[in-house]
Amino acid sequence: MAAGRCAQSATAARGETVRGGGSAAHSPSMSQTKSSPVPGPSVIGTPLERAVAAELISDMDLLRLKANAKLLARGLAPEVQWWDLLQEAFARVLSGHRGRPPGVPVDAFITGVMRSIRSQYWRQMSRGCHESETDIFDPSPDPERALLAVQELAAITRLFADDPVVMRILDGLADGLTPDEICSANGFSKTTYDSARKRMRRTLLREGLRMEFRP
Amino acid sequence: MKKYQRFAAQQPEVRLEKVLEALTTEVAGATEQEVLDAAADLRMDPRLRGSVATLGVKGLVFPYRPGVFGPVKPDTGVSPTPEGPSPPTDTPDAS
Repeated sequence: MAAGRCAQSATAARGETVRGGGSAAHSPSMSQTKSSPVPGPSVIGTPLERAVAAELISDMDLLRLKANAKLLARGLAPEVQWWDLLQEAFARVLSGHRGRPPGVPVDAFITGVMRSIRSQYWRQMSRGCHESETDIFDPSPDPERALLAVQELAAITRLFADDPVVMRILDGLADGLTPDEICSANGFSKTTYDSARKRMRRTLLREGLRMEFRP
Repeated sequence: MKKYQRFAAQQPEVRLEKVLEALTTEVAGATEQEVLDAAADLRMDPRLRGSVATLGVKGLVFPYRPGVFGPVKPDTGVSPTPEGPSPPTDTPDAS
């Protein structure tokens, strides 16, 4: 029940509702401490289905995670789909490899796991291997990955092409600036910055929920 | 060290990582109303059972493919054969 309570408190903070309390027995690592893995063969369904069935995650969390999975799947190999990222994140969490730190909402935690998987995969892409490597950023230039990164950044920026404030914020974020530094460098008030963030969130959520089919 | 950090920050890969981190944090922090508003822009209502907004994450869940991101660890707790429904013939775009 601990996991269920965690999921509930995370979403309750946003005024959302979670049906049922969930069961920690179904997913040990949705709880906030690292625990032992669940034996595999008896488990039915995909990791995502198991998390949903155990009511450990709200519908709104799922939608936010879907949007984030689509965002993070950008630039990965064509055979890697957004749901691969999402399913893998749930698989690692449910297996007990990842323990949720105290106070971190479920969707933020799963998003972090997806970012981590993406980052690792990204670094391995040009090497053509899947071996686990160090988490330290490899400073050696890789022209293929660099070009891909430029293209993906451009694609993300295009989402906000009609919003110059958001474009400047994105530029500042890419430079590693803090919100205060972005505001002072561009002369934005806190209200301007917060309004732009709100527009940014709406655009990203819209893109994440959009149903697109390949021609 | 500072010189290296400045150099690293200019690399497209690092810039992309930073932007993705910031944007995914924003999305993860979105309120329920913001999610509903974004869905309404697309004439979707995620509160309805079987809403298209939930395609892929609830109801019709796309299969788990172990090993896409590397070798499957023996204790991942997932059967190697996904038992979920197959994805539609026209697969949604990864973007």
